[in-house]
Amino acid sequence: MKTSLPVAIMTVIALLIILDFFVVDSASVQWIKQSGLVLRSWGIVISAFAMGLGAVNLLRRHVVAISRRETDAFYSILLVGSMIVMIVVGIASGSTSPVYDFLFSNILSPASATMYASIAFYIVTAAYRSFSARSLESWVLLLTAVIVMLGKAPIGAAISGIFPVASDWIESIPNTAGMRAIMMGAALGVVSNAIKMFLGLDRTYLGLRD
Amino acid sequence: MSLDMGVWVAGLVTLAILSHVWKENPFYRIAEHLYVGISAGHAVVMAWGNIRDTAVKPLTEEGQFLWIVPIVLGILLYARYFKGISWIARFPVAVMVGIGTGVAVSGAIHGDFSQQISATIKVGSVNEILLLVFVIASLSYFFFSRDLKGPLSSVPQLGKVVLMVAFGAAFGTTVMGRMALLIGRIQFILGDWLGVMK
Repeated sequence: MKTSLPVAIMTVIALLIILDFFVVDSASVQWIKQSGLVLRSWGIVISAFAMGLGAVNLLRRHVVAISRRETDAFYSILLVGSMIVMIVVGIASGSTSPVYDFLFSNILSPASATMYASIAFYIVTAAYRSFSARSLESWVLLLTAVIVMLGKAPIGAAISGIFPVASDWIESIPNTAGMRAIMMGAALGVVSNAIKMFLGLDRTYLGLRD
Repeated sequence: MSLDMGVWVAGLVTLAILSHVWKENPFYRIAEHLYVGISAGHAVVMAWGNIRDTAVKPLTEEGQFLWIVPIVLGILLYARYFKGISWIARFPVAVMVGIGTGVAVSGAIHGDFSQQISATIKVGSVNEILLLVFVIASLSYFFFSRDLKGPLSSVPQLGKVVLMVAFGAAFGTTVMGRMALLIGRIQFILGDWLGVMK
């Protein structure tokens, strides 16, 4: 009951939603459409509770670090403090309150943009260390990357008008073709994995190892 | 130079995070922990907003008692913290995975498979013919069941080259996207904050 019932529930729900997507809208199958709609909105609510689970885990980890007075406890205090302030202000005064807006606009938003921006350095240094143009394929990858980068920067167009045109062509034809093939392969992977889950062959999502 | 406290905080946070490019330091770690704490807090506030607007309000204000089910399932997720009854958390997880799998499989079959095929086989121009050839070549490279021999062996080879072009384009686009963000942050520091650039 502890294992087979959750697998059965998961399978029935997944099949209902798949059916909902593929059956033609008519009065005889209205219950499938209705069930699909209700289940998807339930998913939003349960996922929201799961988000709280993540926050509780994060809090537990850092509260333990503070109570044990670990060497990095100061940073844990900052994390827990900022998290609690954000939650209390957000729930008590709403996400449009001035304090919430200050924290969002002046810490969260710039920090997020800077984190993503700083990845540029690591991508380039990792590429420098790992890309070695020894074969035809690696030459193709390097050349394509350089053409696309020059095509998207003003300096590329200043050197030659070919770069923006070549960059656009690469993105719309070979890039689309490669990504489309990957997408189709991944779609088959999704379906085969779902079948494994329906048959109870993959139960790792329940925290079980087979 | 700006006199706005918010701009100063944003500028200092930006500098602290960028300082990690040099090496890890206490300023970076302060900004990092503030970022994680505020992000997690924001996620909780957004999640609470979803629960309140989607389930609690219809339940309490409109008497839609069916919303008790996802609320109870959501609460049951926290059973994992109690030894002996932690297995109960498997039920809401199963419901979530079922919904996720159903949505993912529908999207995969429809959007990622059949629609991609119908978009690929519509050929009219030279570019569309090339697109079809490139997709078939790339798919043949993923076909591991049987080795293609003779003249057909060049098809997966072409597929490998097409995939390398796609990876190169993805790499170039990612780097340029990150560069655009970096330029934005530098403009903020030099323009909005320090006022040395217009």
